[in-house]
Amino acid sequence: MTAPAAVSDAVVAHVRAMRGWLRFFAVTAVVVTLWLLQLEGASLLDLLVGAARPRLEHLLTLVTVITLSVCAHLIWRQANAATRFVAAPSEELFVTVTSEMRRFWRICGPLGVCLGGLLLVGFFAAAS
Amino acid sequence: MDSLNPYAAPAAQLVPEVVAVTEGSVGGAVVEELGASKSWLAGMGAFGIAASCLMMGTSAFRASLRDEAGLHLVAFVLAALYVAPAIALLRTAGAVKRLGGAPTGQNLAEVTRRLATFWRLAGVITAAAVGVTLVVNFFMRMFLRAV
Repeated sequence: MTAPAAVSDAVVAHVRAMRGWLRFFAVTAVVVTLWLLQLEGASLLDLLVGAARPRLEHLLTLVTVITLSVCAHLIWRQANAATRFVAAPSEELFVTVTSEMRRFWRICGPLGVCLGGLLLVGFFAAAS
Repeated sequence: MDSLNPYAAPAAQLVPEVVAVTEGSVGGAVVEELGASKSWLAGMGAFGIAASCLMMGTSAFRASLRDEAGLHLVAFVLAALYVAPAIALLRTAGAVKRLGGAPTGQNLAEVTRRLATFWRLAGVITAAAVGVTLVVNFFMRMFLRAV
């Protein structure tokens, strides 16, 4: 009998290994977001109520906070899907894992490109 | 021959059939979902390499001017480290492409292996970066208190 390749030992082992790092990333993203809000929350609030003029740093912080929050949520969903798959491997649950992965890249890809672009602009502004 | 012998002792199958599977079928939904992520995997990998190379070049140039050379050398090393997960993303995209061409169990295992490598590399580097940031912050605070 040939079982679906998605439930092979190798695939399950790789997904299990990935799951731990996904959880780590989600928790790290939340911690860094909270740390950024604690550092820059007051200046962001000033910007939102119009008490401060918008600057590159504000935009960078805002995009970073949004990107990290969204990424943390989507990575956590991926980790949950991976946990369900590892607990009871089946092709349907593997499709759920890949579907969550697709959603993560489709949403966090553009956000990551925006953030990376802003970071590069900030880096070159600081370096010049 | 034992199957024909009604007096043979019963024997249990010691290894489940699923264990040895690496050549099984890969469903169309799996290939479709992974294929949809391929362009983003390749794009982010290329973007990561380009951004890292730009940062490395700028840091090396600034360090050569001896203007805060230590800081720019640290930036150079961090930028160089982030090339590894970007390459892992490109390799994952390549593995997904091969899976699309030949949806076999081995190719699927290769995709998941590459993905696990990407998350491990990115995780180790991120953990190191967070650790370095915490240590630098700690010493900066100690230094500022002493001053």
